[in-house]
Amino acid sequence: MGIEYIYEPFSYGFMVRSLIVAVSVGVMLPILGSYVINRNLGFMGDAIAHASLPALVLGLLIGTSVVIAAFPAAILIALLIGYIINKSKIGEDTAVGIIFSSLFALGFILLSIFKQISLSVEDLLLGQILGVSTFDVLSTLILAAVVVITSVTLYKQFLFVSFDPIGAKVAGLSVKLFDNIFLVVLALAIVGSLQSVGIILVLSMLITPAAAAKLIMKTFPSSMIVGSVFGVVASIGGLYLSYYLDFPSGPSMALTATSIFIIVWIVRRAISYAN
Amino acid sequence: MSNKSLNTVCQIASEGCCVELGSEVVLDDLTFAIQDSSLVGVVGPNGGGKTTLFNAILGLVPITHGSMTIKGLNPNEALGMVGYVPQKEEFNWKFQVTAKQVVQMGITKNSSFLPTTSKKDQEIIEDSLAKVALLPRINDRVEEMSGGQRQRVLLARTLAQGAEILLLDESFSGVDIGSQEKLLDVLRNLKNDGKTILMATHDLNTIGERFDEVLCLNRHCCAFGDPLEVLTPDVLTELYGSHSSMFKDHTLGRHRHNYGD
Repeated sequence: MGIEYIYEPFSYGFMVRSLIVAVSVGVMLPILGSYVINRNLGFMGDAIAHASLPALVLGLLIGTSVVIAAFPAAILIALLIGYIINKSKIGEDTAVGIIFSSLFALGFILLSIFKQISLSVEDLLLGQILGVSTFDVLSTLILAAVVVITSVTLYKQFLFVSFDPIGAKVAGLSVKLFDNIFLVVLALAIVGSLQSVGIILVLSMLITPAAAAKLIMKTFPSSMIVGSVFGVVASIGGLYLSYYLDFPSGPSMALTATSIFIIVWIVRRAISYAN
Repeated sequence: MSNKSLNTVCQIASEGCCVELGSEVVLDDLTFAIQDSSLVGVVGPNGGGKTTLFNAILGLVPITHGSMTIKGLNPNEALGMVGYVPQKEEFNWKFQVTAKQVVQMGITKNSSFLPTTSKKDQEIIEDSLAKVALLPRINDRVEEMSGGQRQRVLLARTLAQGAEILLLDESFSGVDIGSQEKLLDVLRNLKNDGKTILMATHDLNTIGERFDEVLCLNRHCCAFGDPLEVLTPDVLTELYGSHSSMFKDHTLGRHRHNYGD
């Protein structure tokens, strides 16, 4: 037993690629997740992931990269959901639920119609980070950069419209515009993470590290930063589990994130008892 | 009804203003004019249209008939000139924001695309918090503050925004007397600086000593003017209907009834 267990995997090119993708996912999802947990948007994050399935299938069918096909779809879905939230008369949860379950179902129907598509459903649902290509690495890196830069430059605006939408409107900010930008960035981050975490478990990396950070941090920006640190730890932890134990990467990352949450919770309780 | 001239450009001028929400007339034929440097209490029953009036001034609801002008401008053109301090339920307190962050929101529209605070912005923030006597608590979390302090932080935000007209929605509710007085001191200072302040309130007992003018609202404007003059038994009946007997023998500043407190 030795330190070589830590660095040995990275003598392989595919592991280096996976590491870069894991770190990107670990950083970008919790940044947006900090807003998601405070605005109760978890269901919407889940919906965006599921609703992108038909686009992924069509992308494979016409032979483009999965990620490229899903981007425009994700943006459309995000804007559609944003529109529904403003207009829905049947309740936004209901409307979002109908749309996302229908699109998810449509994705599976497409899969069974076009049997020639070589696609592992399990990888799609649970993530398979070890199979990322150089192109995936590049596109994920660009995405992570877009998410981080948008979150930093529009931090004040995002915070204002999230904390107090009426006040923001009164102060002359376009709440709709910034909400839509946020949803689009969220959709991009989610779709960009599907390959690592999978459709079903992307929610875990979106909310669990951010929630763990919120347990111990006193202010919003600090919990955003610490959430990203937890996210990176969870995604790298998941990567090791995938490599050594041959687990799918989504569940590995999800359970590492949950372990971090539990540890943080216990430590926090212990400290408050001690005081 | 006020006889003040509408010819001069008032801070807020409402001429026959009507607001309909759905098929319901929430505000009917409202006419009043408010000058600068005034502290106005807006009273009336729940559902009487206080919040709708504020929304109309803020340009958040359309005006169906008549006009509402802010320094001669339509409410939509006057965005940013009016500051709003809503009730605490309107905010998402899950965001653990500090006093500094809340006040900074007031200058978000014109500040740089950087998460950092420029020296100029920091000065505006500190200046605004000093005006509401909360500068020492600049880095404290707002949701941990008392109700009255929270209202003052939100007031500081409207000051940072540069608003000349401040609307406060029931800022006294759930706030103890001492904190109410502190908030009132701040409001009086702001008024003396030239601000126009409207506050929705349910507290008729203290309205005469606290406000220069009172706007009585029950879907229409029942009265507007010096509270000591306009709050007559007739106006109270018009305002509160059958419940007005509660106030009938009530003269301002004196309590003939013992309500058991």
